[in-house]
Amino acid sequence: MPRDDTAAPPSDEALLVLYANGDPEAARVLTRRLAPRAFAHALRMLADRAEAEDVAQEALLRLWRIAPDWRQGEAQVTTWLYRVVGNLATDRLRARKRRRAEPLDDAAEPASDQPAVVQVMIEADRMAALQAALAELPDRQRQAVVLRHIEGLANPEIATIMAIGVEAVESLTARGKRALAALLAGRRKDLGYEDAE
Amino acid sequence: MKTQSDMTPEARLDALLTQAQAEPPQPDDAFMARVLADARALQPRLPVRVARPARRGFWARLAATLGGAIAVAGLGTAAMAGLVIGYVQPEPMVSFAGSIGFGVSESLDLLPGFDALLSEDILQ
Repeated sequence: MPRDDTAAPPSDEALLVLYANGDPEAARVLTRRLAPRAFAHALRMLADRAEAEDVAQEALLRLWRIAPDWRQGEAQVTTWLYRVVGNLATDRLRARKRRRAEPLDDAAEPASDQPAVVQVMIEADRMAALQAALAELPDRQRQAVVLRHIEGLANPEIATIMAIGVEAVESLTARGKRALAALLAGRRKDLGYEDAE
Repeated sequence: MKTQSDMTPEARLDALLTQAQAEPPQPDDAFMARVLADARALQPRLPVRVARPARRGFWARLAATLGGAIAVAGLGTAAMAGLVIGYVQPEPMVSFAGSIGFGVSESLDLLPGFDALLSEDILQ
């Protein structure tokens, strides 16, 4: 791929076409562009770094395989990737729950063998606390909240990724945010906030 | 300025989500290397076109040996002319040959008979 610093960066789709045509530079740029996003999304969903790496790598493997057959203009590459990462992560979460003999769509209650949100927040790691709180949400709520409020995607794109309607996305994100706020607020006294008031 | 303790749970959550968006978790180098290795391993390879020399036929090789197409054409023309002259024996050629001392004989005995070798003069 020739370098042209003045031109706009090629789209993911254009890079995928170049990749399918054997351009080695396209492979490098696509990896650098997409792998961190796939990994970050998988980690938000799974809260486990090793599993997130496995899921992101598998999702990208599927992308490399379908590159020659990619139908241009039908979907954005990132939308497709988020969808595959979400599906793979959901499969892993279900497998986890089966192993723990828990119901699939459990209410937002802390899992007994996961690090408690309280403990994490006492360690003053707010990002880890957010991650722990996210882990307590039902899978679909977590996916919608992460895509909307952390990945910053628009509701129609989230609807495509999750294969649901836009209204369902709005409902999931609203309920997810309320649950997150409640989870975090419920531990305020454990953080010492009550003492400061 | 509001501190964490002054914020409502919703505002605190929004602040956390904004921070999370600004600070995405970073994958390590080994993961990136594995993904790139996958990409390279599965990348379609375009067929490499190697220029193969055209296979030359018998006549082409013969022409090259004799000095090219022009030489072959000249040789062919000379051979045809020889055949025509030999068979037709055109009158101008016969008279021309006679005028310069090459008479045209009706027959030419290249292998004499044995009779002369068996004559008594030679045996004695």
